Amino acid sequence: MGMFDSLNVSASGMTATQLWMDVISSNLANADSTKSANGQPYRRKEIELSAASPSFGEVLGGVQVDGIVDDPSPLRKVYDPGNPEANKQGYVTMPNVNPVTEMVDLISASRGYESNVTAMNAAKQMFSKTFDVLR
Amino acid sequence: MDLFDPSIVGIEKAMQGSLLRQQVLASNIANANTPGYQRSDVDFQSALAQAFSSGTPSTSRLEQITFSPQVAANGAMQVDGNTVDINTENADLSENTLDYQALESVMGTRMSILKTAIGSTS
Amino acid sequence: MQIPAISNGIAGVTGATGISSNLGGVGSVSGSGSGSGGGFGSMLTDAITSLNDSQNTASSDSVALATGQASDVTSVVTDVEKANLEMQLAVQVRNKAVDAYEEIMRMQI
Repeated sequence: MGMFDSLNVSASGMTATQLWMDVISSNLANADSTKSANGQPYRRKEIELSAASPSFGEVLGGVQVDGIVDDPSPLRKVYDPGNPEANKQGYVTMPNVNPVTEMVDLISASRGYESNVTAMNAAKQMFSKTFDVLR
Repeated sequence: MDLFDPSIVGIEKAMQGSLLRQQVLASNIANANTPGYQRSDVDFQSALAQAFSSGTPSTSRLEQITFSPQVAANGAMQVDGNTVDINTENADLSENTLDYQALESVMGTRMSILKTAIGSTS
Repeated sequence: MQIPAISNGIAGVTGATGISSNLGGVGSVSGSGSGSGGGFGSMLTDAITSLNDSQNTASSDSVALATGQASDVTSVVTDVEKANLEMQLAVQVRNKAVDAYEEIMRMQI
């Protein structure tokens, strides 16, 4: 077990939760975007996480981001005949983003980030206390 | 000549176990949102309690004890199979940090007792 | 608990106790002493016993802390600190007793 592997593990957790928060912010900002770059309504994005295998000296690994994928759940249809985007039946296709879900995820992500920061501070404190034994 | 009695070696082993536990808890927290991840823990205290249960062990016997992480579910389960509860992990992390600080403080004082007995002034 | 370094420290203090008992004996023969030499000797013996007890308490408290069975972290830390101070006191008393012995042995009769 290397001295600083614990710090690397916590750092990977912080990076992953930060990226997750970016994804959530993007979802919230685009909750009403009926047109995205490819001409389709915005699709909710999700982050894919997996446990990283331990690198040399680590006991258990940190976390790695496998990618950012589209949420395959169906898009919402809202009845709004006056909207220029409406189709022949008067329905507008809206993104499959539910702001309530996104806010709950945001709280989880931010608590996860804080916990990783706490873990990193705990490791730093323990290591610096060890040197006090010498005094 | 055996300067360090088993209780001092016991404290040293406990400090090692506590450092290992810190790393395992950090991994749990980093993977708090990874689907299917199973949390692990290190129970260094019961390994040492076992060694000390039948009288005082020899220092060489104590030095041979090793600690390793075990998969340890604590009843929490998320929809995607992840068994990490961030609140429990934070509580365990605080407890472990305080354990380590208490052990380190006792170790420091016992070392200075030995230094006084030897007559060293550093 | 066998720590040779501490045993030597205790032996040094015990040696001083033996010396002060002899001095106490001299004092009572001449009649001018008030028997305070013997009182000092027994005080030293008590101090050594108390030192040994405090070291044993510190040792068992350390084991309790390492195995997670310490009921109260405060008592563990204060017991170990008490053992530290008792040891320092014992070493200082030993040093003073040895100095006093040497001082007396230097006297020309």
